[in-house]
Amino acid sequence: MEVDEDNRSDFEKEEEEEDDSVSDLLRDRFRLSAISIAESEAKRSGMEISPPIVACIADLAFKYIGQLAKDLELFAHHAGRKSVTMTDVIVSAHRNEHLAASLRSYSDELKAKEPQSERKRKKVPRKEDKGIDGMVNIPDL
Amino acid sequence: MDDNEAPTFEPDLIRAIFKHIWIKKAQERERNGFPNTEAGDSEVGAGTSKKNRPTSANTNALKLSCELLRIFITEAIQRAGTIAEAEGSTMIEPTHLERILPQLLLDF
Repeated sequence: MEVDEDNRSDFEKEEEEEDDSVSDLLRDRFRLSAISIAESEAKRSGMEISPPIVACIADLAFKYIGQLAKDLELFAHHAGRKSVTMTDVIVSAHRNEHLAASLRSYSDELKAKEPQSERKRKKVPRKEDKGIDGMVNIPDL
Repeated sequence: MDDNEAPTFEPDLIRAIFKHIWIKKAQERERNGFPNTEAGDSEVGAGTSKKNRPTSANTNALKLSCELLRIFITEAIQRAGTIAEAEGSTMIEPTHLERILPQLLLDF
């Protein structure tokens, strides 16, 4: 289960859908990315990790993305949108205050990087926001 | 928590996976909810009627999803690593993952 980076570099965009082979391909690519993230994280903290565990974590992450996709779609539709935005992603993490706060500050970074956001500027970036006021504020659209 | 050279997910890959799932669901909706419109015309997802068009995601939302998934994986490793360390080992074993898994799944 050795994985090297160049498996990901020859990633070419696939726009055709609805094939089990496509879905397998996507899953395998996802797993490869997940495995390289897991291995680099293990290396960073000086731990060794046995390959079956890495594969297991990659599978977990794939299950998680399936659930996440459904959640995000549900949230976007509930807000009357056809397109998923950053608030949907933050709402999907609302059970975990720290995670939500971390995502919120990351989203502020992303917003700051591309200042093309037109009307949702009502919230000033608060980096140290610990999310006590747990509600994610959702701009009225 | 994030250093820049650490690998992460490709937003394009995440977009493709999301799209795949959403198109499947849109087709299901079309089949179930609107039996009169299932003329088999829209198998490639670009739904004909506005109502059945699959969901899409904007770029920043995808980046944020990448970050969320990355945190999921790094948390799994970190927590399992903490247990392994507490047992005086530097090898993460299946039992360590088993120990942290319930709380991890509750947290995400």
